[in-house]
Amino acid sequence: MLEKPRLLTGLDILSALMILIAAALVFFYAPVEQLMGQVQKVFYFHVATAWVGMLGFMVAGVAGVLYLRTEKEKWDIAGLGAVEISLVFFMVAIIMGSIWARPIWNTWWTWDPRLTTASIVELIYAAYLLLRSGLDDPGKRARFSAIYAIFGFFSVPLTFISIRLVRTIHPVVIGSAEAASQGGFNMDASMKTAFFFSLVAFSVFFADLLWHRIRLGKLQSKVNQLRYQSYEKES
Amino acid sequence: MFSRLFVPDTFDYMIAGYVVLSIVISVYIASIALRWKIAAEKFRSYQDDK
Repeated sequence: MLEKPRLLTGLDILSALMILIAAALVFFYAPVEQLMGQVQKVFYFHVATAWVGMLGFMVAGVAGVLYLRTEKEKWDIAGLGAVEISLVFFMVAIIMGSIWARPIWNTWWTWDPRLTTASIVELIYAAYLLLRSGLDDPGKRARFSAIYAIFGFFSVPLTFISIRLVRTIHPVVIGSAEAASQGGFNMDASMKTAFFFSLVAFSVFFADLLWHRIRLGKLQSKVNQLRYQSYEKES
Repeated sequence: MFSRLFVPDTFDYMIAGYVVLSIVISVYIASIALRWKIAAEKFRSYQDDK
């Protein structure tokens, strides 16, 4: 149970290498954007972290469906792990976006549709962890978490399409931009390479972290079982 | 012509963005490692008690 699988070690190394290569592409290969300067390079990992956030929330929703169908604890552990990782990455995306906005929009924050919906998503999933921790019964907690993750996921596509549906200053780099957007730019071939490689690298990194988090969840569950057995023995 | 010559100096913001990313992700990885260590110690102690 405590032994680390070789495949996981391989995935650790692969994800670390891919993140390093992505960073090298961002800093040394992609050119400096002429209007925004170096801060435009925040964009590559800002989008990649936001993507991991959305991916994890989707995984949590799927794990929720699978839990409700099978009632197997592993899906509850996977859902919890995916939400936890995604919350961290989505928070990083929001902070990085805010840092980018300061020189480009001349403000750290504005209640733009994208920023607002992203904040709502972050709060919805923060509430998932808080509400979950308030339930003692493991079965009830898992069912509640599964249903919450499924319904919570509806907020994610809303964030994604918000800049494509309504008037916003948030740039749409892929697809047609809203006329009011500020800070948009066209990507050349080297920028696209750095961008798409970063997305793949962070996806691999997410898979790696999720595997670690699932192992941790299983171990914690086993420890709880052993603790319960030990109490039963004593009483 | 003007925009080609004048590239704004936003280097500090770029560094700030990547510093935040590195710190938050590192803290999260450390939290997983720490929780694993604590759970593994408890697991071993319960196994020894058996």
